[in-house]
Amino acid sequence: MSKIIELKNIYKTFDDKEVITDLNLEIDENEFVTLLGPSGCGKTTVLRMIGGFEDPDSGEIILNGETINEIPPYYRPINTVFQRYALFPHLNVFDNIAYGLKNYNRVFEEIRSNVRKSYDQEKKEIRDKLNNKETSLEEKKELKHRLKEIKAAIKEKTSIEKEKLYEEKLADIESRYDKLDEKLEAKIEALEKDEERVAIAEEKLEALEEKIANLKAEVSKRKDKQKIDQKYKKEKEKLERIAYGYDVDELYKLRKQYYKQRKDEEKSAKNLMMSPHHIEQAVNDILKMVNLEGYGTRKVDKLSGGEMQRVAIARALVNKPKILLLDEPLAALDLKLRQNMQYELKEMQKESKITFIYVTHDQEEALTMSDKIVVFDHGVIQQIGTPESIYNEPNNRFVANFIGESNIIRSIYKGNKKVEIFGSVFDCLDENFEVDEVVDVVIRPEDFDIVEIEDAKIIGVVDSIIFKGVFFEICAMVQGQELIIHKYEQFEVGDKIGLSVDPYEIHIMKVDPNEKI
Amino acid sequence: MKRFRMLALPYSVWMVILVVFPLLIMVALAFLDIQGLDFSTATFTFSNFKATFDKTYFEVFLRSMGYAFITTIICIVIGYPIAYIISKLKPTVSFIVLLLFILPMWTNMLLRIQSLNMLLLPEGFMKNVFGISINLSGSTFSVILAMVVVYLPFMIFPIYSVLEKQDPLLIEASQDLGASEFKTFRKVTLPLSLKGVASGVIMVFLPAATSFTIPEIMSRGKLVLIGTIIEQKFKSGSNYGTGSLMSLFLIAFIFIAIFISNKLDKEGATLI
Repeated sequence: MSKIIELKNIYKTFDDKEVITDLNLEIDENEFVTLLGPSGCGKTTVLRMIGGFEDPDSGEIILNGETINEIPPYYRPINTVFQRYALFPHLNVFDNIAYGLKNYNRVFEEIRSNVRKSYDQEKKEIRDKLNNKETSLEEKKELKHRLKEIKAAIKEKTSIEKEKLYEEKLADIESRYDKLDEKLEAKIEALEKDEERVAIAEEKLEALEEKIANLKAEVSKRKDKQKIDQKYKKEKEKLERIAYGYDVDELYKLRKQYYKQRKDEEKSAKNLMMSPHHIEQAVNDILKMVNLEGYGTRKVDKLSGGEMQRVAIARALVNKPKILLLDEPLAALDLKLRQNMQYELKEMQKESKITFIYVTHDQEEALTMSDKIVVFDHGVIQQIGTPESIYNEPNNRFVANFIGESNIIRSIYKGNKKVEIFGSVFDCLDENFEVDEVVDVVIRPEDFDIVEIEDAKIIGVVDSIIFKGVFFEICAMVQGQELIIHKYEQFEVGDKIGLSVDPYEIHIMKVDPNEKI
Repeated sequence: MKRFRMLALPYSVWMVILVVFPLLIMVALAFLDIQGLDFSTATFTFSNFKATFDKTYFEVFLRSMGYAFITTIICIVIGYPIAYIISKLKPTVSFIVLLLFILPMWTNMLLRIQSLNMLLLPEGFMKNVFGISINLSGSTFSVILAMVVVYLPFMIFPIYSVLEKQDPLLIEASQDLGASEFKTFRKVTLPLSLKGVASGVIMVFLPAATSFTIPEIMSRGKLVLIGTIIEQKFKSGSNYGTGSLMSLFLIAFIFIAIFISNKLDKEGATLI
């Protein structure tokens, strides 16, 4: 996998408040990445910076090897699914989805981006020099002049490339439609020459009509007469088509339609845009993909929340962006719908092979869908990893608390893969800690084993017990600290229980020096 | 809610006395040959129709519509950009700017028109202060100028309120989908604000079409519009019947205009 986007040393402040501090992040192609964190942690700001709606104070956003800080959102090959959908109320579903195809020139932007890339390094150097105080005024003037030259060169090269592509497209259109036309021509000619075919059909039609008339004469009721008509309707129509030359007319009509499509395509090719019938096809395809077939002419304000959501996703996805940004798109949906959409989104990502960057504060959503989770707090990345690694090996107290429920116990590392928890020594798998170092131990509620009191290393008293459907949530007090335990067995409040933990269920973290307890 | 129905009573009485009753009288007057308001000698007649459908009056009517049309167009051209800019300002600043447009409306309209007229007099303010001699008083231009000055706020406010309510997320969505700032304005902001333009057109076109003080004062009696004619019919005291009938036709016209523009509005912004 190669990386598609890279954020380098990004800083961002709003009204003197630093919301993003020295952010570094790499995202691979065809990955489902989730930015996870509590509200106000800066995850949405990161998304908006990638989309181009927010400029970083410093740092670089690099897309496919090109720095895109200066590129406005409408030239970026990135699309967004907004939290409140932001569908255009004056357009119907079809026009909402077609909006990007009609306005965003993907092919042209790709060409331009490739041209720009070759000047990226030089531009960066010039900018650095311009920002350098030691650069003399005269030099600066020269550098600025050079920047202008580069701009002109990019424009020229892009238009040359564009012309080239236009020629290619024209040639392609010509050969395609010439072939189609030839085939049609041959068909028409064959049909028109074959006079015998028409004569036979005429004869047969006459015979059939006579037959129908005879049959009708035999019955008296109007209903029965209609039945006879019904019975022979298809056969009659088939013969009529040939006898009256409808089939040839249809071919002529088709030929006319092809001609119009060809003209449309030639016109659109000039700007390297999609032609109207291609747009129509793309929109209908994507509507099928999001299960909204036939919704094209509906008004968007007549849709349900789930349908609006699908339209919003379709509207972004139909442009085949390099990256799709999703800003808590499921937040407004009810639980059941949300869970369904989670699977569907994951499927869409796999199918479309587009990189998804998904922002949410819902850890369950993140764990369900992501290939990679980036945990944020206070504008700083706390941990990057797969859902499993984030859940099983949290880096610090914040991540352990934010992702799922966890018991964090202040303990002492004894060296040689042993750790002292609540005064008893346990085997563990972690190393790399000093002997007698104070550490935090994370144990997930479902990882405690209940054992006989005599064999137990930890003994707790049940403080409360709540039925949670699949399991009981037990709160037990151990040496003044409350532990949460998930178990299938029921206990009474006040019961003494013996607890044990397997070595691989114990995760040890360094104590954060800044942490206040 | 039924208990509060009685609260509407004073208003209903008010409406009956000042709107419904006068309208009924006007309908009656339209079919009467009457001297002043002396009902005792009045006789039933259709002669008012003959007087109203006079060719000269039709020309006056068309002229009035023409002036109102030009005023409305100028108000749209000037008012839309102003409304757009105000809607983009910070709330505190936009409040002050709006206030600047509202303030003059608190002064009597007659006073404003009169003073505007004075400004345009050859020996008036411009000559005394700047030493520039202009002679625009009484011209067609001065009538339209006064109409635009008086009615412009009625174009700005509805457009502003529609623009201000527009979801800024739509603009981001449009840019996200590849439309530049200008394209976004053309394809999203403008079509979604046409509702405001439509109500602005009603608010400007109708009073401009029926105004009589502005043409009277600004043209110094030279320009006759439909409002002037109706005023004369009543003021001279001789022809209440014809005046009433003309007014009724104007009311009907206004209702049709509002009805049509409402229809256009419902179809949404796709029409224009």
